[in-house]
Amino acid sequence: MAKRWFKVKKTAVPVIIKKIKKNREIKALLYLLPALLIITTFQIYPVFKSLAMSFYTDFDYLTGEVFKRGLDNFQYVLTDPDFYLALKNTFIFVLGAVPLSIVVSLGFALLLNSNIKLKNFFRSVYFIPFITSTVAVSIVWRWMFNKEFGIVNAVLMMLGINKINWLTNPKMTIPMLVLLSVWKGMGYKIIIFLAGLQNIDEKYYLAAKIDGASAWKRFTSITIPLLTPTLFFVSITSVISSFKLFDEVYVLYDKQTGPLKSGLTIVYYIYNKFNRYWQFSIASAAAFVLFVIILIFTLIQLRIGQKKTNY
Amino acid sequence: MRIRLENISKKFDTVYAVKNLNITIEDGELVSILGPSGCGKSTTLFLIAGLYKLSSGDIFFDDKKVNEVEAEDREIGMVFQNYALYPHMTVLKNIMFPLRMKRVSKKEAEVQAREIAKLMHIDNLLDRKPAQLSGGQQQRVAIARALVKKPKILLLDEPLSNLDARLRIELRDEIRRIQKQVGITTIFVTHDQEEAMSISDKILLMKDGECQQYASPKEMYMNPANEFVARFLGNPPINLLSGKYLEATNSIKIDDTDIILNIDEYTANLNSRNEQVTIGIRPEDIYITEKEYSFIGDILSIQTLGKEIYVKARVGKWEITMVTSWDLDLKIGDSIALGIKKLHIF
Repeated sequence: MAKRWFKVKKTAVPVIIKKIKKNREIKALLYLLPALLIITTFQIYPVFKSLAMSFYTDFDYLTGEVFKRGLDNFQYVLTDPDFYLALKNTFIFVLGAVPLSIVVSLGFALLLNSNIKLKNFFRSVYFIPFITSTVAVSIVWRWMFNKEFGIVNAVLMMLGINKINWLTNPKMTIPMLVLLSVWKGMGYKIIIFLAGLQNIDEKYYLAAKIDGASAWKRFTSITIPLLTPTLFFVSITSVISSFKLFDEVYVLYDKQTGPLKSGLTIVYYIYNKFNRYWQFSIASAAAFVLFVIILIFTLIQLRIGQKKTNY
Repeated sequence: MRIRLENISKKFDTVYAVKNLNITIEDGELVSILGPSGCGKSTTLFLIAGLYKLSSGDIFFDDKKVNEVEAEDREIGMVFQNYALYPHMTVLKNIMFPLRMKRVSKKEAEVQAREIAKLMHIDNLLDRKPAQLSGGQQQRVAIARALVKKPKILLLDEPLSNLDARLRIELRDEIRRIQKQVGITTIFVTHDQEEAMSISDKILLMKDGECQQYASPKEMYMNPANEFVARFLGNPPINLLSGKYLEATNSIKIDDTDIILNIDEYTANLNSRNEQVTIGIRPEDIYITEKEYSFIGDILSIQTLGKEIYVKARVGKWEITMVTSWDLDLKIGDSIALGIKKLHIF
């Protein structure tokens, strides 16, 4: 009997291994598990935790003890003039940065897609800002746009234009941020657009030419409709990333929100509540509001996208 | 519209795709450009369309030189090999597109598009997208789109090569019907000799970018200008033998045999007076006879094809294919006496 028990035990292990080997799903799961664990711990758990935290009205941060829950945090955020200022700044930024960056990147992608010389050189040059750290870029920009010593004003002076206080004039803040983000995100968007453009078969352009379509008509009737999937991808991702604007402000305005809070964005508001005032649950509530805003915008765009690209 | 190509050439890097081509296509004619792949037939079409720029030479539409006229202003309709229907537009929108580009009002464009759709028998498909159409239907839409703006010239780039055999014949006849009905000058590129023979008024046969012969299908078949033309046309292919021309007796001695053919006794298409010549005999120009014969062969194989049979016979070292009718009782190994109706000499 003892011998037989031993025998069964011995074969049981390889059988399980064999089963796992055969079952593709379990196999796949084993490969995915390490990444899944890390993502769950550092991304998914915090998301739900911060959502839960946004309802804490009285709690001990260190022990994690919660004494009272409620909607007070949301009430605070939604009545805070600073939050509305942040909301307004962010919306203006999104409205400026997203369309402008799409138009500019698409323009450059079209140029690069036509047969120009040094194509690869230009493509690399445009890609450099994207892979350079935002902090480094912002510091250089701060220096370039310095009112007294910056190169931009120096050039303007040579042209006989008065110095402009780029970084201290509240009216210049959002345009500066738009400029920085368009310039920085251009390389990435150009690559995506180029891929999309190269997916459009040459034969459609030839056919359109024969059909009497001018270059502009070919662009509006062929390029744009056939590029819609790419356009929607780029617009959705850039709306999301524009809503999350933070680093550029943080570095460009030396850890401040710009002159007269003109650079106060939603993420900056969240950051301030969390790091500066230690109002963790209010920060969480604001983050959740931002999440809902982004969700709504993304859903709208997805819906439009589905309607526009049915071929 | 009459099309005149004067000495046109197209060079890609160092290679000539089209070299010194000189032809005139009369108004209302259907001309096929025929040739093996890579012979420059599509390039020629693209040059006429204006999608490629000429390296040298001139293209005239009627008496107007169009070298510098852009494709969009040449007033041509074109059907591409893979149709190139705009995937994001319905069939109706596809057909309306060329009219809309000419600033025809939406209403008027729709009326004309529906009219041409009726002519092409696709008026029941107007609301579909190209992806929902079969190959033959896409083809009809492509032709409709090419014709709707009433172009002066219709260009077709291998329009039937993506279709199955039956549909090909059907659409081939349809293209001919519509071409006659509309009376439009048409150029049709194909690599299929049968297709070219059956619908063209004239065929331009090309090889390596050069014109081999430009003639009516009958003329080209009956009197091929060179060995290549003779070989390219006809199925089963022409029999080619080498031989020596004997000037004294005006006859030809076929190599490696005792056979001497006296040219005066045959209908001959004489293209060469060199000493070393190639003799071409079409399979249907050989007949089995009991009277005066030209040579004797042993039957190697018999292939039945329905209305006729192909017989392959050995004559000396040569294998000769002929087409004959069912009523003869032939067996492999039989010796048969053969007569010849016509000789081609290159």
